[in-house]
Amino acid sequence: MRRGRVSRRNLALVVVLLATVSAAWAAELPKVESLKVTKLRMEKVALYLCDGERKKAEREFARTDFREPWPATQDATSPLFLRVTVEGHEYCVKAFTVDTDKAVSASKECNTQVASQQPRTAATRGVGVGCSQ
Amino acid sequence: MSPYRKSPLSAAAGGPSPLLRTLVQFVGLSMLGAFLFVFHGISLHLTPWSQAIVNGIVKYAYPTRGQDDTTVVLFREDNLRDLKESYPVSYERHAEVLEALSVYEPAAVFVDFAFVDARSADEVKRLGQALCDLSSGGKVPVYLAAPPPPSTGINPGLLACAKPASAQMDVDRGVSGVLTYDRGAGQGANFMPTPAFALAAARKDPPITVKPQNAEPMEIIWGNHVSDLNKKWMNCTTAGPLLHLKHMLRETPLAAKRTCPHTRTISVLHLLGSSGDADVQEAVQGKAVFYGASFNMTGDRVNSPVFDELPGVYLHAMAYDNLVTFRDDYKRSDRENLSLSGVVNVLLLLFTVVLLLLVDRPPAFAKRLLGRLAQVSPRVKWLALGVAVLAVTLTVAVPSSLSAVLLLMPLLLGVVAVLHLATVTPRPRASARQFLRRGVLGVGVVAVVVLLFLVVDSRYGIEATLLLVVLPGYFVYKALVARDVLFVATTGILIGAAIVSFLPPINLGPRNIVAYVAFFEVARQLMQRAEGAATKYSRLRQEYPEAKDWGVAAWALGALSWLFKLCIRGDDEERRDATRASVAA
Repeated sequence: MRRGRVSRRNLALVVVLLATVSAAWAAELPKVESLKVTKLRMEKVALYLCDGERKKAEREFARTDFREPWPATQDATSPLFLRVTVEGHEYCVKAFTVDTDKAVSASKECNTQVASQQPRTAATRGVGVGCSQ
Repeated sequence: MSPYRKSPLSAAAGGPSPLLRTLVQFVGLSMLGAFLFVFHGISLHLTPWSQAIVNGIVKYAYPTRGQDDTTVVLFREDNLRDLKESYPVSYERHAEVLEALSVYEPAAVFVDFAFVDARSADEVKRLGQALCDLSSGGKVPVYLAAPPPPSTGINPGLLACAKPASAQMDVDRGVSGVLTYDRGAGQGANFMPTPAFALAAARKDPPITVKPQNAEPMEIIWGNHVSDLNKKWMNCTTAGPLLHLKHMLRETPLAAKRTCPHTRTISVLHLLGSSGDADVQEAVQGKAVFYGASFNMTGDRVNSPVFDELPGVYLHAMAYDNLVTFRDDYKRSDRENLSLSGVVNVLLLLFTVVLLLLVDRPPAFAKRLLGRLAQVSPRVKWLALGVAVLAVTLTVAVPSSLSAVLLLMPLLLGVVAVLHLATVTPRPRASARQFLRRGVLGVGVVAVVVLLFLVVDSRYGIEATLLLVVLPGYFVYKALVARDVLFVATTGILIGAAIVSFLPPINLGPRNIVAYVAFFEVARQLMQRAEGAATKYSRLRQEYPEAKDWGVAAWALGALSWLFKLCIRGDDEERRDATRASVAA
């Protein structure tokens, strides 16, 4: 009997511990907020394949064809894109080209110092064009 | 009994007359002043103090009209990493930024990137198209940074829908940094306006009638009211009051500058990565946008009297801000040789010299002349005072293009009052009790100023502290402890003159009043020293009247006596002699 009581207490402790850890873990996870694209800000909005390099648009969507809001989420891989569902297909769209029902801001720039004394250097920055490509 | 010291030399027979002495002293002091100011001896060293006071005034007096109309879009070093971009930024990325700008419909755009290097036809075409889309058939004026004429150097493919603007920057002026901004570069058909003048001329609602080709160069007033948007994402904290005090005592009050710019700013990442963000919308829509960069090791930095080094694009934005704020009455720089600014400087110097001659020991003829003012009917005095008050009230209530003209009357009245004060007010000698009392008062004033400095600085910043604590503290010290009311009055007149020259239609930049006040004090000390030397010479001369005692010829000793007599100020002795003679007669 005694052994069983101890075991139940231990079980309760484990459950509480697990619940706490799970809650903390869930809080750590980035929140994927569901949004809605309510308006297109350009005459033609480029839709990109989310898996690709997003250099060439998969298709263009005309503002005049926009009828109902697109479900959308922020893209975890790039701060500049939103993932949208258009006519059953998932695309990525540049954030500035659309209006959303909630404000989306990719930038996490905080505590930035714009005016500052930069260290003097006797050299010129010399990286060529296209080095990142 | 005369309150002035008796000078043995002035009583001596012969030598220069009081009028001649005054004239020679006037010329000498004017030359000394010109030497100090022209060769930057005094004004350069005191510029930080003058500039710090100007910064304090600007903080509270500079309107936010221009700030509300201007936005900087900044491509930051960190943005390169965030966007997986390299330096120099690709044309494709620039095109994307311009595309994003066009979405928010700005009023005008200046691109502070010089597209002078060769690029592939595709890249040029893509950027050219983005420029044309942004311009939307010329509705939105777009300007690109260009090297000075004759060769613009910009790829012609980009100039179909955009115009070049000269991004040339004027040189630094000591610790104040860049204070002037030119209207443009080149002449005639090759003339290329600077971005601020170009955007101001293109502004439609409401229009600014400044024509870059005929405009005078600008003296920039660096606003220092940090935009609320900047406070949201920038580090705007300043060094504490103790550090400010240390900087002020060890170096200059400009040693610690602000780190947050005045101009509203968003980063490229804010622009490209936002959707439905009201801050971005408000910052760009209908605004003049200055798109520039802040990259490491690329130069393009500007020094200013208010901020730590800023990306160069802020210079153009601040100049445009000035044009929107002051419109046609923007402040003119004094780069021309014979300028209005030079005339005002000379007038201020001459006024200071005249006061120097009148203060402490005024000549009898000046006393007679200015003493007559006391005999003016009280009605006339009250009338003049009423007109002066009315003129000041009108200037404050109804700012117009004639503000300076309206204020000339009270300024001239002030000048006359100070001259009168200088000639008729004797400097009383302090008794032993008064001496001690003033000593205690002096220590008290200094202690209160230091305490207030720490309190006000921690709450309102160094500019407010200089303006509200240090400056008034110094005046209180001079008026109550040093009992030098004339100094306070003189400074008041100089400040008044600076305000008048700042207002339209004169429209000059702030004057370095601190330098004039310092000159007043230095020259005053020099004159006292010279008179002391002359008195000593006179005493020695009485003890050793023979030329052989001095080891010089008789004529040389005569010339020496004549020269020393030039240093004597006032002519009480002559006046007393004349009175005695008339009584005897």
